Amino acid sequence: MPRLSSRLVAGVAAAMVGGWLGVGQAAAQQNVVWWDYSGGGDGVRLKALLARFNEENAGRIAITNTTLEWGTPYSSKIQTSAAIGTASDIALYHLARSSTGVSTGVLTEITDTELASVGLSKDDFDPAQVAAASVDGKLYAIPFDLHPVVVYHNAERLCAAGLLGEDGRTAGMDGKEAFSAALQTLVDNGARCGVTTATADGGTLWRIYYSIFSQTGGSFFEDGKFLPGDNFQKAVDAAEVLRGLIDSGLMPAQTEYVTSIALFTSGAFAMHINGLWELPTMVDLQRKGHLFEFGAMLIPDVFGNGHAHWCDGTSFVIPANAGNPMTPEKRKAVLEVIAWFVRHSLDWADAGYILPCRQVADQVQHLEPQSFYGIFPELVAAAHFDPQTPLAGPAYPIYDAVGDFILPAVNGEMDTVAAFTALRDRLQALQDALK
Amino acid sequence: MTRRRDMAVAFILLLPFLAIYGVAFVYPTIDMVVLSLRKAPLIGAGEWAGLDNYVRLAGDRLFRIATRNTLWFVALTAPASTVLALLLAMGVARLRGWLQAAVLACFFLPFMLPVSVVYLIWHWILDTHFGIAQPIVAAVAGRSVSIFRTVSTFMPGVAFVTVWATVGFSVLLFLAGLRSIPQETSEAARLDGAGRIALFRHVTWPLIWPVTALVLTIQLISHLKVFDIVYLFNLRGRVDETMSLVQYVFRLAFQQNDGGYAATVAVAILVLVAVLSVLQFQLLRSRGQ
Amino acid sequence: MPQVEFEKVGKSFGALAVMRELSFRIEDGEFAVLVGPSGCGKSTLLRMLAGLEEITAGEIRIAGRAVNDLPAKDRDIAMVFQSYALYPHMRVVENMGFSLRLRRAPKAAIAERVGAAARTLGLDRLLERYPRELSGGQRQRVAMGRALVRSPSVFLFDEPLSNLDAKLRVQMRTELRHLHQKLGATTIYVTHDQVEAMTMADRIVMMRDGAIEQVGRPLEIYDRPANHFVAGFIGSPAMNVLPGRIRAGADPAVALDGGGVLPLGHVPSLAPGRAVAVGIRPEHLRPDPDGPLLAEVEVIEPTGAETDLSCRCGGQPLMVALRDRGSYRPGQTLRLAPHAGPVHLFDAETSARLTHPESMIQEYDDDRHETRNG
Ligand SMILES: Nc1ncnc2c1ncn2[C@@H]1O[C@H](COP(=O)(O)OP(=O)(O)O)[C@@H](O)[C@H]1O
Ligand SMILES: [Mg+2]
Repeated sequence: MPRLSSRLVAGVAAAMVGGWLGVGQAAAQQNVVWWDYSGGGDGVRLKALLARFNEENAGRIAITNTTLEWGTPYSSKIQTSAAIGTASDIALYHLARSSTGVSTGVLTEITDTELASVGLSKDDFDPAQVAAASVDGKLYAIPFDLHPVVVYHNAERLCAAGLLGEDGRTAGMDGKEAFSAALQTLVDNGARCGVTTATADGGTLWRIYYSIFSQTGGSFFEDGKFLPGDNFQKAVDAAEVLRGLIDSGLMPAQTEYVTSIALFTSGAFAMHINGLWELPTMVDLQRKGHLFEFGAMLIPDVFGNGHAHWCDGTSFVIPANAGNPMTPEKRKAVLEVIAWFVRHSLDWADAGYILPCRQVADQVQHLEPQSFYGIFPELVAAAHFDPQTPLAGPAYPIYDAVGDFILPAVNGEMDTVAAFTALRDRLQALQDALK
Repeated sequence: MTRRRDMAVAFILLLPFLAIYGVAFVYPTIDMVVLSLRKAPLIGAGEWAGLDNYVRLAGDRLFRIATRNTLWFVALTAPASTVLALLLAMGVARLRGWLQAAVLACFFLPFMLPVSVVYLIWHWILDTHFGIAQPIVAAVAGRSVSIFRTVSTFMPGVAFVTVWATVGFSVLLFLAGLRSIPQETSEAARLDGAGRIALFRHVTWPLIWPVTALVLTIQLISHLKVFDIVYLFNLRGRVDETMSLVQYVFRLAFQQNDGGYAATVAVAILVLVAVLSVLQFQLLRSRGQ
Repeated sequence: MPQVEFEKVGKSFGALAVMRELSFRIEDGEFAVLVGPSGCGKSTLLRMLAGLEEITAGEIRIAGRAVNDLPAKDRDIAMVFQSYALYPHMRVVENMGFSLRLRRAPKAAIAERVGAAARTLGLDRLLERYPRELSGGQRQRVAMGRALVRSPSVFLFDEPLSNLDAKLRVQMRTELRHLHQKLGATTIYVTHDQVEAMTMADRIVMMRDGAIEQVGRPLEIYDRPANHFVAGFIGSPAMNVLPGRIRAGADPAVALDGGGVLPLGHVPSLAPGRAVAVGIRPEHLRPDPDGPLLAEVEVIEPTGAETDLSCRCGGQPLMVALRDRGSYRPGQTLRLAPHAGPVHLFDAETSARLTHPESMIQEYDDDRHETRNG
């Protein structure tokens, strides 16, 4: 109580002084409401950044953050809140979900002028990122990181099998036959299986599958159509690659996410396909001396068309609050916040993400572990984002369809052609129903 | 006069409940039926569609699969769980003192666990590679089986976990029922020449029948509405082939933003639950006496 | 009909011993009544005999055969419970025929025996009802009917009348005796009501705290209670007990602590000055101007047939039951003398009986009640 009243007195005094001076300090401060979905280790890093921002900008801009649950509830929450004008001022958003956000009218456009006002431009970002963040040429999201899928490997096992070059990069794995042969060699050299990935987990399987599919050069979704023309055959071919690995015993079937990691870190398996976000897990294990020498590389180029892999990124969006438009002052503050975070994304990238912005990426040499950052430019260049449709994104229809069709096809429980026919028809019907 | 006053008191006491019931149940239910007659997103009015949604329901393969899955789930859980609960309750009833309390706690503990924890426990126990129960599965099936990613083993697996998690509550109900049978009634039967089996058949079972009917009805209704446990186990898997009816509503409403048709399926569930409950109630009552 | 023998039977529930070495024998065809205050172990004893409770020490024999390890269903014993324990989901006819049905008796035989038992008990019209549709008395009859139908070798009753109203209780007492005379089955009947014990028993087994105090024919127990406790339990109103000492001198007499000298008949050699308790039943006291007891009337309770006077005698309470109505007032002083019955002497310390038949003031014909058994 004494505390409260002393604060009250101070507040009243400040207001009086401010009024007298004619510059209301309190009136100038912008309160920015922030929503994110980072609850894990990256959440800790994010909270630290938020605290730093609030400290540096005390009296000018104050961020209040709320961490919501990842997946469906998060995007539903933003959608339903924006519809009644109660969504946050800034929200963390998956790049791949931008088009859904735009189609449901949840996101506001960010103009070049606005970017320039806080010292950023589209050229600071990779074209692939900008494309993923745009709909019809208009930008709706500002990237904060990138997280592609990579192949982790057990360096000792690869070395023993002669699959690791002088430069620490994998060798002799490109091409379908070469990849299978390499895995077979690893098995012959004592690995229980060549490679693990979460074959029982629709979400992960989509990322792996979409990586391979992207290597065919095909297009999953184009001009409102799913797998049009010969893209269908390419989709089937990509699935057959994974099914072939399982059939020949080089990759275990029906493996859960955590299990697939544990199989790899146990040392029994030579390689592991997963997102770059598991890098801190591996690094931490190694620092504690619980892990063998390991490396991370791009997924082998299976079809000979060049490297390609699934990628998504965290981005910032400014929700369109219906009936509750943002004042220009607030919007300016929000853009400032975004620019500050983009410039400070080094700490965030420590969670295993790729830096979004060239201005910042130039400093990567100072980061550990060095070797992984060496492949970052290649990773960004080979990035393929989810198809640009509202049906994409975690817990949305494409992911569901993966569980229903690609998962049984890859694990040998369903005919591949039948599976993709059903998948295409399902998604096409849902896409057509959107109009 | 007093009757009048009784009614007034009853009304006043019930008023808060009636108000909440009206706002939180009656109104949304009516609204749901109205929504089922529209082609509408989850939020927003949409347009009038007449019986279109119901016509679609009649030809919907996924609705048929979800209905079949749900009924299969109920068939796997309700009878097995009831019989198991009765057996366990009869066992527990024979124990005394702290031992009884300890054993009862063992059976009841899973019931107090959140479904997500139950899911994690069994997900690990039955993991294809590391699951400690896989050797048993392998012994039966001849190889490791991914229980929750194989369509034919999915429902039996989930039913098993559900029975494990919920049987404790039924045990408690049965135990209360068994305790309400006077000891002297059983003793009279023993003196009349009844052995264990005859005692159960002619005395315990008929007297416990009302509890059995209650347990069966509770399970029928709650299992027809199964969602969370099925959702968790088929998450990121073959949802189409393994989903329950309520899960289908969830998917339509929240993942496909198809509010009108989701409401239609919800109405169908309401009708199904009502019809089956009344049927079962009649059946159980007629068997009671 | 077999005899039932208890030999050094003991019972403990866990660490709690509720029954000590207990031995007695019930003859073939006898109607024995186990009587004692609540909690003395009557039900437990009955349940041990029926096989519902484990026998933790000693042996119980039916017709000479030890039954300790015989399951209840094989002992051929029927029991009527205080709560009746009817099967609530069965109609009367099914309740009564249940034991026969379990034995797979032919339907016709079941119907015949249930019908016969129902006629005996006047249940003919109630056969189709469920227990919940019967009155307490009717349920009691059904419980008896259920036992009757089986024609068991031993009948057990555990306070079967205690839930009935007074009138029905008296009526059922008579009916039960009749039934027993007709069937002649060995019967053990438990009650805490001394009137039931006195009126129904061929022989009474008097219990207290898991031990037997006295076994004997009802009048034998009334006339010669083995101790203070039995004396107080049997007979109503309860026997008066007055402390005193044996007086020195030629004529045997007791000097009462509260004043007055009570002459005795032939008294065995009891040391003068020995502390005793004198027992006189209220119905054996009469007003007598020369009586040795001086009492002040406190409360007058006329029952119609008797007048009970609640008095005080030398500081001790004293009950007097008079056959006449008299005209008594509270506060009045009366002189009283033992009359028409024995004066009992008990050891002041052990409370055991000291007097012999010869010591009675009025000689008592021991044979008078022997005819009852005939
Ligand atoms: N199941 C039991 N566990 C422990 N003590 C018991 C049990 N049954 C009876 N007793 C004890 O044994 C004694 C005799 O009980 P009981 O035979 O029911 O007496 P009664 O029938 O003469 O009233 C009592 O002290 C009672 O508390
Ligand atoms: Mg008793």
